Amino acid sequence: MIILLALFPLAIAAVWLTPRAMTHTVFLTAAVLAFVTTIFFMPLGDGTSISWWPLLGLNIDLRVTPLNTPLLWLNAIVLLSTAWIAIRPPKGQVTLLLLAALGVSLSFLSHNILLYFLGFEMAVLPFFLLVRRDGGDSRREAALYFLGYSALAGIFLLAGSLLLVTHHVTTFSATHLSHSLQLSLYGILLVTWAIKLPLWPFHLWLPKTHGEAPTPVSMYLSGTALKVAPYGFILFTPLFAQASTTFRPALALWGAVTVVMGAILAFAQSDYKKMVAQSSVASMGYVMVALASGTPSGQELAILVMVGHGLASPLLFLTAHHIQKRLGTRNLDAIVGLYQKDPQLVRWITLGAFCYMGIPGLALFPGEFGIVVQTWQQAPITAAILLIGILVMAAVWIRVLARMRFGSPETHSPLPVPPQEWLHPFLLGIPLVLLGINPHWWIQLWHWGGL
Amino acid sequence: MSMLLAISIFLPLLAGVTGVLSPTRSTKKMQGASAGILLALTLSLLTHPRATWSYRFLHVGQLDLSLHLAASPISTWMAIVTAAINLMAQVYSIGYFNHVPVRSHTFPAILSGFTGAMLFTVFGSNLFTQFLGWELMGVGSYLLVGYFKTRHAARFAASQSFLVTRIGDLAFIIAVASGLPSHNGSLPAINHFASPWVAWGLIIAVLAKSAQGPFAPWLLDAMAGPTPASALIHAATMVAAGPFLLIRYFPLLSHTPGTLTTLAIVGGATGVMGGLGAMGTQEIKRLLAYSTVSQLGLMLLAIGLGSPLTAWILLVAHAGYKSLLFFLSGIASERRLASKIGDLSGGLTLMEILLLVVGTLGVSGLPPTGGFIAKSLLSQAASPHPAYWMLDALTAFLGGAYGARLFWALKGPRHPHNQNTSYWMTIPPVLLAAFVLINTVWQPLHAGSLPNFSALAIDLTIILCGAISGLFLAANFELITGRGWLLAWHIASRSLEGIAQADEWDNQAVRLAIHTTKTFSHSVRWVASGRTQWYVAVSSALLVTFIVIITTH
Repeated sequence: MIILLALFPLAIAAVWLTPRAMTHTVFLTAAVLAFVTTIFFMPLGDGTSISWWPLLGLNIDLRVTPLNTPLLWLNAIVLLSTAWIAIRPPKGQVTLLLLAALGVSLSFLSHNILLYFLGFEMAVLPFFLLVRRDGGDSRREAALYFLGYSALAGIFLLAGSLLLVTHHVTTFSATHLSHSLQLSLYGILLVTWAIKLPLWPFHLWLPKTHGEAPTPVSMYLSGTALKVAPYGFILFTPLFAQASTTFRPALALWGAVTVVMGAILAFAQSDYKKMVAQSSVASMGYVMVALASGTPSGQELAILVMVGHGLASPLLFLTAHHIQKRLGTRNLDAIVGLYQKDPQLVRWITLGAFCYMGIPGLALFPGEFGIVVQTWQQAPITAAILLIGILVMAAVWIRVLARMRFGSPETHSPLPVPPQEWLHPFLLGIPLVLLGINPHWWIQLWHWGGL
Repeated sequence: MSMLLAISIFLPLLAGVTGVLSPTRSTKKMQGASAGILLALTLSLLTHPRATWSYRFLHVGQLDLSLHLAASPISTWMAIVTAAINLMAQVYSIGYFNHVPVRSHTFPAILSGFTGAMLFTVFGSNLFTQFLGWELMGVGSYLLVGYFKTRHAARFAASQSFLVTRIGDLAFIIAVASGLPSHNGSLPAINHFASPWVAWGLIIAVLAKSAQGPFAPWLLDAMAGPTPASALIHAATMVAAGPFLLIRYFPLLSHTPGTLTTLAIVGGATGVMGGLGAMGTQEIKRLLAYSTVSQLGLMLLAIGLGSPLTAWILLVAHAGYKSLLFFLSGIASERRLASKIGDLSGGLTLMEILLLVVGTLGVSGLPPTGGFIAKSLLSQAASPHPAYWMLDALTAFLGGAYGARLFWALKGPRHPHNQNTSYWMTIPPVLLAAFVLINTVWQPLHAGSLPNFSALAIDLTIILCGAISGLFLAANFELITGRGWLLAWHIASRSLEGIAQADEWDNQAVRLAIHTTKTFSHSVRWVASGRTQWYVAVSSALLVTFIVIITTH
């Protein structure tokens, strides 16, 4: 566990000590090591507690729990595929990505409130710099949105954390707090979750950021970093269990509205990559609906969706990168007949699209279907809204597939694809299918934690 | 023998997935071989009537989603029909794609996967399992209907078929969700006691998948797909899954008020509409599609009349003659390089015309075919209810009429300028014609008596009248088109884009906030040096405040 956390600073050092040509190798090695460490050397129940700043209640208290194991595995896979596809990455980009990976791992592992906040912030600032450094044409605006929203979320998270610390609550172990305190905490932190999850209408930063971010950054941001906030929701909720019970139905409804609005906004996008990003908003809506149920099964379903989305969305961001390379644009009007130019790419997009539509056998189905079924039994109106979301999501992707898969052959013959690029999607595609066929392999992680 | 059951479902699915992933030139033969093995497997399941297989898909908290497959006489026979038609389609497509200028490498594989999905629904013995097969069939039909990627019609047809059936899928989700509390939605439990939500959800799902009532257009436009795929979709999968599912859930329907009446009305009306449409269309495949819509309507009418056995007999008979007719019309289209009804005459050899006679008699419901038995049984079941009997008689009349029209279009002495076709395409029609004839005296699972003489005679007279008038009735019109759904799509997409404008207001609000902050920070000059610093400053100010609070505590 400590090895994993120590790995990232060491890798950053290695990036700067080795020549420019070695950067990718170092990044990939670090990702492979992180992968191996996560899967083989972090058994369930592993924990470390080191006193750091007792006055503040900021201690290094790390635990591998049934809840964070699936997310740590997801983190390992996404980091590995990010590192694999980053071709000739600048040193700065690799450094910042590794820093973000450290922040994400820290917040997933942390059992200490302020340490979680530290990890949360470390997973935010690098992305601001990454978008500003390496982004597209309107990167300044995108970065500003990202920072502005994140800062607001961060301030509220800090305020909530500090409020807890002043009441001598420093870890996530459940304690008894007065009702009024619970309510104020709930209100403060709700702002954080609404922005970072994100829930509509606090989502504006997400498509803007992804629209400008370079591919590896988008992949890592949506694959893993986006999961820090919902995981935080799981961590914090037991602290104000009573207060949260009151607002459960409203929160579930908000989640369902987010699903529908995310899908509708995705429908209205004209840029493929922004559309993928908007679709993420809908997936996070499902997560919110599941978490709002407040049951253990709701939590597990939410994590299933988080993992499924963490595999599907980087895969589609990767395809966005290839579309940009093949066509020089990501505009949805320009992609007609893409199948004739690169059939393999369109097959992967079809797979990802069916995943987002919730087709059985693919990663998002078990979680989303489970959530709809469960919600139908508890709150039929919320479930009915979710069903509308499913229909709109199908329309979103069918429209894209109709453009990509069909079209006249013109004069284009299939472009040659370098063998390495041809292999890229498999790293995400294989777990995507495995999770869809047998979600229990992932759920087992709850029970036996690692191999 | 649970392994046998599992293998017969996963063999086609696996063959499909491997075939799509690694398309090679030998795919056709390999898929053909696997289709043959599949047929043998399903036949051998007849000797294992109690085989079951289950697999826990997802179990969290109260939620328990399991796959459960069970062989029962009706499922096994349906599986045999599906596997047999799949084999025919595989054999046919070996010859079919010699003429079509499309790489056919993945086609047989998709066909296999599609069959596997159907078997899932057929053998599924709880709602969740049937739903999985149902969804996968939706994907399969999307890929098959949209197989000719360069054709504009295929693009529209595939998208329409997926989205329209998706509406029905939502109803199926509701059925699954409402059915889960009763013994995890297992079939006997659902039939025994389940909420009306399950019954109505299933009915809407079936109407969408089987192209009934307002959902009919998708099947007609789906003709843009390759002929072997059309044959499989129409005869033994996808649309046939609808009546099959309702037959299995008949006990549930029979004690849910209103469901049977709805089925009878919608089915009967769709039957008449489909028959009328078949008299107006000018394309051979569309005529067959109208006929499918009409005959599926009759199956629902049979269920609505409380006679699921009749629906089942019609389902099996229809599988035989409809695939036969698709294959024959495909051969004629290939030879004449045409698809319009007026251009097809002379495309068939004498032997093939004999097969066509068998198919036409079947689709019209005339002896000596299985169609005759099924239609007569239906007419007998409808006779106590004048209104339904009228619908049935009208459909039977129109069936005779479009049957005659179909025959007229394809007959004629052989044209001298025909294209050559592969002999692979002729094998399936011969076998199917034999089946259609045998079907007269033998129907799977039917041990009951034949319809009484008066029902036979009345039915026969009506159909023959229809056949004679059919030659004069034909006109040029299109009764059911996808325009309605296209319009719905345009309206929906406009309004969705309208709602999406809310994002712009959201954006304006944020801009206003940014502007206000900027103005504010300009007035306070010392934090206005840069945004990052502003952020860091606020964070650290809060931290300092906090430390002060802590230390003074």
